[in-house]
Formats: sequence, C-alpha cells, structure tokens
Amino acid sequence: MLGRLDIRYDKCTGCKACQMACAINKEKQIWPEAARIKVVQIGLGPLDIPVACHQCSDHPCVAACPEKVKALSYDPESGVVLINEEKCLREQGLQCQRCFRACPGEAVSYHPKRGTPLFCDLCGGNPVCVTACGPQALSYNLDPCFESRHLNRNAYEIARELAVKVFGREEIK
Amino acid sequence: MGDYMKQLSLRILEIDLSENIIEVIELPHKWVREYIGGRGLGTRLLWERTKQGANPLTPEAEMYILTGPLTGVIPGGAHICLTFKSPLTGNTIGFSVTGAQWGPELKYAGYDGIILKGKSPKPVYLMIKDDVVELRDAGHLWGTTTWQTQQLIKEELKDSQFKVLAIGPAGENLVSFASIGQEQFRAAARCGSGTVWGSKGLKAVAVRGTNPVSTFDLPGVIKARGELEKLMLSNRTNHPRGYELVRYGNSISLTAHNDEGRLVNKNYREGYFEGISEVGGLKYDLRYFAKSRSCSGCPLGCMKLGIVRDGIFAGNVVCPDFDSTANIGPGCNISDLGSMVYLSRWADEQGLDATSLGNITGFAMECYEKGILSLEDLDGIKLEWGNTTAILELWRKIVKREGIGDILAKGVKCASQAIGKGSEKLAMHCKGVEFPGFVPQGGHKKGLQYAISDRGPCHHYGSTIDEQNQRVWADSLTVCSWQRRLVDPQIYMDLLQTTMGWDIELSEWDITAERMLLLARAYNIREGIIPEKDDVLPERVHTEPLTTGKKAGSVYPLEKFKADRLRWYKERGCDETGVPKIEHLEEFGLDFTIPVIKKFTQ
Ligand code: SF4
Ligand code: SF4
Repeated sequence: MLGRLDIRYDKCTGCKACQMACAINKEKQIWPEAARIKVVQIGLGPLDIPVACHQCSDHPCVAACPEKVKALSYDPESGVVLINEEKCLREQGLQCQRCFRACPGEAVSYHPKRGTPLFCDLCGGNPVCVTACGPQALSYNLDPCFESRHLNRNAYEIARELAVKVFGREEIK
Repeated sequence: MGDYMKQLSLRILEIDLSENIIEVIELPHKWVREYIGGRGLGTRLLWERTKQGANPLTPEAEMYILTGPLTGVIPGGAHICLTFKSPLTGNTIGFSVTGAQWGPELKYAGYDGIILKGKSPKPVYLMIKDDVVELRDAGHLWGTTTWQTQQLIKEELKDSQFKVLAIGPAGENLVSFASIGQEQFRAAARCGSGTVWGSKGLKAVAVRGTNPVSTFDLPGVIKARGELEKLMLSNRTNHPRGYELVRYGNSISLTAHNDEGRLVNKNYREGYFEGISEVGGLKYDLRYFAKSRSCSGCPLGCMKLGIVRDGIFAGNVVCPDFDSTANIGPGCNISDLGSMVYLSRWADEQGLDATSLGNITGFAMECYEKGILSLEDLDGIKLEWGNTTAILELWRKIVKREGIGDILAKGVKCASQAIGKGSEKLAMHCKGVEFPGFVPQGGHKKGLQYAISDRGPCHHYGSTIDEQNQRVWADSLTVCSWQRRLVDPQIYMDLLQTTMGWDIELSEWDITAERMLLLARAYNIREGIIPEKDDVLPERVHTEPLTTGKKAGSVYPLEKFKADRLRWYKERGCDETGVPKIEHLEEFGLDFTIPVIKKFTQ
C-alpha cells in the first residue's frame, strides 16, 4: 500500500516546481498544463493552492465512472486509481466529466491534448512533486492512519480558510 | 534531436493597435543568437525598428515585451523584459523587468514575445489564449486599479488562471513614472512602462497557455534544468544569500544599508535614517509577515506576503521589498511600518513606480521645508516629513493630475524645472529618471552606476564590468538576478545549447554582454544623449556632505567621480568622453551603429 500526499498550504509559495516535475516525469515534456498536480492562485495575495489527488479511500471518482464504461478502477495493492484510457468516454470524443465532478477537491484534470483524465499514481511511492518542493509544502505521508479525505475540498474553500490562518484575521482587504 | 532551423526561430506576436492587426512574425536568427532575448534583443529591435527622434508616447513608438530562451523552462527563469524608449527621459532606452508567472505563460501559449505598436482609438486589452489572440474592449476597465483589472479580466474570461499585466489610473493619465503590474504586487515599474501603455490605449495583456515548450534537445534540456533545480534547492540553505531570501526576502537589507550609511533619507541629504529600527530588519517579519511567494519554478520564494495588523491601515494585505519601500519609508522619513508598507501597496494598485514616486515625494517635502513650495502651492497639503496622510493626499493628486499633482506627475526633473526657485538642485535624478534607494555620497559605487547606466539611475546596472555583464545577461536570458548570483554561468551555456541548439561557449559571455551594453549606449547617443554631459550626478552628491550615520562627512567628490567614470569608459571600450570607439564597435559586430557615432563625434 502506498502513502498519501500531505499538503501544508501555508508553506506553498506557488512556484509550481511540483507541477513541472510531474509533467516531466509523466509526459517527458516541459508542459505544466499536462501535470497531475496543479497549483492555482486565488484571492488576495494571491494565495497558492496545490490541487492534487488525496487518494480518498472510498474513491468517489471510480464510483462515478459509468457502470458500463468502468474506465477507472482502484488498485487494492497500491491504493491508487488506475485508468484504462481506451474505455474512457472522452477517448470517444464525449465530454464526460463525472470523475471531475465526483472529486471533492476537483483534483481530476484532463490532458490538454488527449483529453483523458489525469490520475496521480504517487510515482510508485517516490512522488517527484515532493522532491521538487523546496518550501516543503508537500510531503509523502506513509502513516496508514493518515486519511486526508476530509481535507480534500474545493481550492476556493481551502483558500478562504488559509487566508484566515496566514493573515490571522477574517477581514482582509 | 530537433530541427535546427525550426528551433532557432522565435515566434513574436506583432500587434498593431491602430489598425487592430495581429500577426505572428519571426525574428532573424542572427539577432537572436547575438542578442539572446529580453533586454539585449529588445535593444536591438529598438535600434532597428524605431525612427531616430521618435516621441516615446506617440503611436509610432514601440514596446517589446520579450521572454528569453530559458523562460518557462528553468526554475526561476520566469522574468520578462519590456524594452521601449523612455518617456521619463525622452531620449534614452527604457526597460523594465518583472517575474512571477506571466513570461512562462506566454511561452506555453506558444510565443516568445510581443511587439506593441500604434495607438488604439479606444481602450482595449489584449487577450492571448494559445492560438486565439484578440484585442478586446476595455472601456469598462478604464479607471480601475491594476488589482481590479486583473480580477475583472479573469472573471470576464472565466478562467482564474489567466496571467494579467495591467496598468492602473496612473498609466491611463500618462503619469511619467507609471508602472505595469501583475499578480497584485509584482510590477515592471521603472522608466514609465505604464505610461507607454496608457499612450497606446492598452489597459492590459492577459495570457493563458496550455502547450508544451518546444526545445532543440528535450532530454538534454530536462537533464540540464534538473541539475539547476537541484542546485537551487540546495541554495535554500547552503548559500547565505539564498538562505536570506528564503527566510526574510530582501527588504530586511534596509537596515544593513542604513548601517553602512547609504540608505536614502530626506531626499538624499542623509544616508542614515534614525527611524530604521521601526521599519527595518526583523520588524516586518515579526509583525506582519504571513507567507512567502515565488516566481515560476523558483524554490527560494523571496516575496514576503503579509498584512498590516495595527494602525489606520490594519487589514491591508501587503508585500514589500527593498525597492518598493526604501524611497517611500526612509526616503520620506516614515518611521511607521504599517504606513510604509501600505503606501508601497497603494503605488502598486494605482500603477505607479514606487521608487520614482517616493523620490519625487521626498523632493516635494524638501521643497516645502525650504519654503520653495508653499502651502498654497501644495493646495493646502501640509507636506511635512513622515506625514502619511499628506503623502496620500498628494499622491491622489498625482494620479488624477490635479494642481501640484500635475506638475509632479511629469517626473522630478521636469517638475523641478517647472517649480524653479532653485528646486532644480534638489531634484535627485540622472537623465530625468529618479534615483532609487541608495545615497551616492555614502556609496560611491552606487553613484557611478547611477550616472553611467543607460536607462537612468539604477543600482541593478552593476558597478564593475563583470557585474554589468552578469546583469545584462540575466535580463536577456530573462532569469532572476538573484538566481544569477547563485549560479555558475556555465550552467546557462549548457541550457542554451540544449534548449536552442546553439553552439555557444562561456567565452561568448563577456563579448555578448559588451555588444548589448554598447548598443544601448549607441542608441542613447543616436537619440540625443551626450555622454560626457549626461552621465553625471546632481551637484548635491558632490558638494553636500552627509551629517549623520557611518558615512557622516562624506560626499562623492566630483574629481573622484570623474576619475571613476573615466576608468569605466576606458574599460568599456569608449573614448574619454564616453563615446564607444569605432574599432570597438566593429569588433563587436555593431557596424550598423558606426555612421551614427561618426556623425556624433564630428
Ligand atoms: S513545489 Fe511546493 S511550494 Fe512550489 S507550488 Fe508545488 S507545493 Fe507549492
Ligand atoms: S529569488 Fe525571488 S525574484 Fe528571483 S525567481 Fe525566486 S522568487 Fe522570483
């Protein structure tokens, strides 16, 4: 069983080194848009929010993939989501977004050219985003008790809460 | 391996704002190879594409927004350089650099740069989303701050990840030192870049790119950038300067420069600010700091985001750095941290260069103190040292160009000429551009840079040949100038070989830099600069000794300055009057400038 990404949002500087490392590792290209992890800028500051798969143990994305299609499955051995691109409706040119909508963190994105969903597989247990993260906003947590399902939320919600934490007050302008 | 010819071409968007014509052009390989990108290439374009004597604020004036060959590829290679004829001087090159994410985004959209020309009949903004490039109406954005524009455009385009460069009301109203801002606190601030946009009716450029970067030898690039990334990661802790940037950012150095007696105070009369303990050192870190932010790929994160926690500006998000605070805080004798950092944010929002703005405010304060500007002249504003409320009142007038504000909006040189009464002696500028945060009496090397720098006083120009070469390279590769200090230039050569397919060696480093710097000098001469007469410092620097701090009693004696300047002229291949020597121009492939230089020397 693999671990999970542990994100300290307050430490993220928005450099996107993680995003670049991911794209290079997975796509062998200088192509941040094709990364599995994406860092977005939100609100005053702005604040930088890494959006990445939290490896929810109940896998709402897998459950959302239509019964007849089942392009997504869950690998009980590693714990990551597997994708069979050939089966994916998007491969047939359809605009299905069920996995994206099911993800509490909206962490599923689609490949900018192929169109199929991008799923984080934790690089087989040695995530390159973690290595690339200078400020140590990302770490790889192997503790089996660490379940980040409840932390997996929309980036705007995270940013709202983060603002109160880092600025120490509700009212900011 | 990729296709050699294909990889060498740059794709540049040429935007004719008058006619709404948008084209993709390629630049001659020779120029790119010889001038690299950013500042160097911008200088070459400025020479070639603009007519001698052109007014910087007319439609025929052009601006070059250029990335470099490594932008979007390497960590910390996030910067862009905007090159144009300076509206602040009227007769020199102007350029301005900014980091964050905008440059890489342009690369991912598939372009290496943008040429702006013409003047739009109505306010517009430029939208670039990969292949879709269009000028859109900006009537509803005109009058909004840089922050509001950035936000409104993201909402309008329904994508919060657009990167937006925008001018504020200051640029619209043609304040001579208007800036162009992005990501709230980042700006291409110096030389009146925002004024040029205002004159063209251009409110913003929004870009979103989703493509991969094409390179000559992709596996080679990935390897070389990986090595740089590792080095930068280790510099977070292994390099003292790297560590300082990670931990404190650069505004902490206010105190260090103050201790050395070279930090601006009271319009460059002093190099020591007695209120430093309230605004310098760890004060910001302890009271306001919230979190760090970075440019694309950079593991250092030198930008220190924070919030004012007390006083009348409590609740305002801020992000100060040395250059945005030195002239405003110590320069105007402000010893309240909240006021200093908020005022610097105010300048960002309105789209003003905080450096020039702080300088000009200090000038006006000294004029008031000396009775040159009366309360009536100032429309009733009690412009005493350190008076934040008065400063804000004055600044609102500058942005709106009302009364005294209209005079000051022209820059410190023109303002002092308009005010007269000896105020010219209090105007601390070179070639019409306001001094930044160092006092030459307390730091002669800074003074020398101020005088010889091609875009007017700039402590980024470098005081030695080696420093200058490094910095013009950084601005042309468009890599961060902090990073450049931490990295062996050979690394950039390896990256250029793999990214561009160039056969380039370190031996070219000094030659290329010299070519770029001499061209800028030749351009200035073409536009009317007389080096011997214009590479000078205001009289105060030579005659009025500092009275406080470590350098109390110091001036930068005129004779010493002249000797320093002469030494530099010689080292830089110029004659004793600062004009590049003909044989030197030939040697560096600048034959096309020779007729101009010959005409000048005759
Ligand atoms: S590498 Fe780390 S600091 Fe940089 S964007 Fe990613 S999570 Fe944030
Ligand atoms: S050191 Fe600062 S300015 Fe330079 S690239 Fe890093 S974050 Fe940007």
